[in-house]
Amino acid sequence: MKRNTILKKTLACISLMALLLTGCAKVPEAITEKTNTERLEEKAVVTLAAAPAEKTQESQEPQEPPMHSSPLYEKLGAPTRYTAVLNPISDIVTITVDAPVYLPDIDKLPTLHVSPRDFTEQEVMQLFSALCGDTVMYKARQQMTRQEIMERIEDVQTEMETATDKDRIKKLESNLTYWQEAYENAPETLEQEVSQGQLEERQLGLKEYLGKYMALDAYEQQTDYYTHTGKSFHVHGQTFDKNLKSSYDFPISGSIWYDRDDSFGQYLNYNQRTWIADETLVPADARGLAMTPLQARQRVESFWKDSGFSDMAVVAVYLTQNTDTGLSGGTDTPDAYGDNSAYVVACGRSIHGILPPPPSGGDPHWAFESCTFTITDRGIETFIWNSPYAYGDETTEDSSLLSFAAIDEIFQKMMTVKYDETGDAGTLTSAAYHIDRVALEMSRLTNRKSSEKGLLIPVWNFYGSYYFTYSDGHAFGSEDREGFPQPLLRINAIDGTLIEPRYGC
Amino acid sequence: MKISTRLSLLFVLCSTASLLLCGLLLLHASETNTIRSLQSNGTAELNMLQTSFTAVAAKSIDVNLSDTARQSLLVYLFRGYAEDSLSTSQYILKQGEDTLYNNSGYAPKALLLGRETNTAFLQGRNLLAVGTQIELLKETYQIYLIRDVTDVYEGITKLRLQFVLICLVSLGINAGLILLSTRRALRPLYTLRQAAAAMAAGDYGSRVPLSHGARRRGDEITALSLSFNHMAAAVEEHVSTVNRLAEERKMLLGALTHELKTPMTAIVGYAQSLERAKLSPQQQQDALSFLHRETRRLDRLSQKMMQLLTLTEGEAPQLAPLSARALFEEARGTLLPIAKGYGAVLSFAEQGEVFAADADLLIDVLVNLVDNAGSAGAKHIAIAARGQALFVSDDGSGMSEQILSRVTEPFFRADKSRSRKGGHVGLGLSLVNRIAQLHKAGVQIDSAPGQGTTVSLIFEENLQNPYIPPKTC
Repeated sequence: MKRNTILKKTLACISLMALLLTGCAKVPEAITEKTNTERLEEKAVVTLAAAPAEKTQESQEPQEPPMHSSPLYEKLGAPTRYTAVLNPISDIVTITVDAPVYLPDIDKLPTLHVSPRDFTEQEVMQLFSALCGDTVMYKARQQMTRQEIMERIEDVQTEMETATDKDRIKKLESNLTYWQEAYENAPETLEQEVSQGQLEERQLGLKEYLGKYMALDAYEQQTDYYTHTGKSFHVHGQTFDKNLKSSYDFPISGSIWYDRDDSFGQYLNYNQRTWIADETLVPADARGLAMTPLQARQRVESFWKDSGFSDMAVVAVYLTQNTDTGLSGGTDTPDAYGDNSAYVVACGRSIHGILPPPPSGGDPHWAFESCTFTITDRGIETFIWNSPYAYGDETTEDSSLLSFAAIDEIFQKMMTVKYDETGDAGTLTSAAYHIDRVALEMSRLTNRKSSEKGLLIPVWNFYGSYYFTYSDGHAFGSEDREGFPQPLLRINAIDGTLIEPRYGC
Repeated sequence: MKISTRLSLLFVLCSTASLLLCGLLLLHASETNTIRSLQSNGTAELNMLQTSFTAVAAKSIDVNLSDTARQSLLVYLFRGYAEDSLSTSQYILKQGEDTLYNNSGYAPKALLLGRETNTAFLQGRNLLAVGTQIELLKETYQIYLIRDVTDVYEGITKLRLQFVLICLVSLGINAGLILLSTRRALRPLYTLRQAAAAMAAGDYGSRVPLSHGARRRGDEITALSLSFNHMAAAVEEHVSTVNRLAEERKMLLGALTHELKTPMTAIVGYAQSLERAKLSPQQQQDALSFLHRETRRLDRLSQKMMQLLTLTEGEAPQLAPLSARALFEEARGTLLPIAKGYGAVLSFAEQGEVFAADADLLIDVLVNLVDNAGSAGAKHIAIAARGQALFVSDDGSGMSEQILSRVTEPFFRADKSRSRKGGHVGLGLSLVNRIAQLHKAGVQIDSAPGQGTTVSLIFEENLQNPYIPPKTC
């Protein structure tokens, strides 16, 4: 009895002490903070005071009619044309602005999550059917015949006879061993198998297991292991397995590539694309094209509709040009398209009726989605779809956007800060930057080096050109760049920070 | 627990404790230096960023800029340093509670805990956090550096594990060596134990072997072993003595029994005859005389036995300086009647010699020797003292070599018939021998048939040199 009483009293004392200590204990601070994108999401949902934005003074010159009428002009106080002359510190740098302002024809823009996804079997089948349905396609050979391997062996042996570099000789010896081993197991002949567009599982990495992915390679005609003619259709599914030892520390994004004939207009997929403002007219510098950009757009829109992709939309139409080298690269076959032009129609899945981001580049960790058709008067020459997105939860359907006046202030300041540095380059004699288009578009943001999730947010893109001259007389400009036009400045429409794809955010 | 095990454990514990203490101190110092160096590097890196960023920002920032534009500018400039840095550090830019840029995901205050520099363990990672403050256009901003230093701590942990491993290996080797050394050092104790066990089992010759090296070392165990060996030798000697004495007693008793048997048989026979037989008065007188004679002989036998036993088992006599002259004067009274009884003439000669002796015992010696001389038919018995020896010479019948070899055995009689008649029991020379032993003297008997006998009692100092007795008769 006495012992029980003592025990109860002891327990009571201990409990009381614990309670007191708990009360006195400092509540630990949170050890993590919101990421940059999480803070951005918070800002996106904050509703600003409803005072109408001041309209930036419009240019005195006659206004270009906007591409679409949009309630956002008034909401954000944005002009239809934006002009300015900036004053960089460096004497050799000039920055001018004379740009129509393009806003989406809606009254609100969302902020939503985005993540990488793989192509579905159904998507692949639909595209395969739409692009190659009228042609018998054969599965690409995954093996070489003995004859083909023997030719490789002979090539290696021939090179070994004259090679002098020790590293090269070592490499050739390794190749020779590889081909000789392959020769032992190679078949004499291979039967061609018809492809119905089904994906097959493949292993990444010949010697080291780096992961599995779904793939499809099909040709209209394959004369030998390396040579094919006619249509080709390739699918490379997304490859990423964190648990496997891999030389890749980010996903290999999925891609689909279709060519009507890859010996035709080979440089159409690589050369510079120029954005077309007026799609109703064939651009003056277009060669070998009778169809208008609008017709190209409509061609693509029909394709999507006919093939069952109801949510795919055309983002923009660009003009590109083939390079006439006389020969197609890597083969002796002449490129039949010479230096004629083609339209590149950029597409994407619409975001609740809003256009997806235009093609972009520069993030080494997670490729931006790019879905393009190369159209000539013959029709669809090429279809390339890389790194498809999966749209996730919407943070808000009506992001809180800064007024254009705020964006203007940031633009004028940051344009000079960012490009003033070019004036420090040693032999540069002049650096001229000119903004010729301003557009409010959706763009992808990620946290640093993320390859798994990001945000799609409204971004002010300032497109333009640049031209540098050097003391030795040579010059370089944006005309010499390849690929799609990239903004000279990207400003986050929600918080006004600059966006640089290589940083993600 | 065995002493070797205890000692080994003690040594191992002590050495391990020393090793652990030194190692831990070194390890702690190394760890502290490493962490200090980490923090110092982090601080230096942040200071560099602070300086560069402040300089660039001060150049670009404009008092007329709106908050949004200013933040956009600062984030752009800061991110350029943060993202393009070759360091693995991550950076944070804050203005009060507002985070302008944070590519680490961590809350800097939670890591710093009020300090300027701190290392924290969070979510399985070790993080170094450094913070500082800058001012731009009278606005205060905070810059933080967060660096994942898990690999450094893993290195420290690895070092600790290596230390533990080294300690364990050292402990093992140490323990083994100490155990072997202790056992080797204490091996003589085992040998000692074995020797003691052997001795307990009756092997009195068992000794602890000692190598030359051990003797040279002269350590405590060697000393103990030597003491044991001395003790074992003493025990062996004592046991030998006891055994010898027991054997002698046994022999003595055996001889006594034998000596008693004959006269007892005769005594019983004569007594029975007296009791039962009708004897003539002369026969009765003869029988009674025989009985008287034999009983007196038995009495003498018992006395001499008692004396012999006393001398054998009793304490060693106290030896005191005794001059030959005093001895002869004291003995004269006892010896003359004995000599006269045999019809012999007794002479004494001395030159002032002094012996360490017991007077009574030496008189016993002289009594027995004179008695034997008389019994041997001697007419002249000379007792002399010269140097460190006493001599009793006679001109009796002498003894052959064969008899000489046994003459000191208890109950041995050279001439049985004459000895019995004279009442001799054969213990005289045994007694003389024993008394000589007690005086640490040797007995030398020189005799030849028909040439008399000289019995020399040579005291210790002269035992080394064979002594040729003077011929005094």
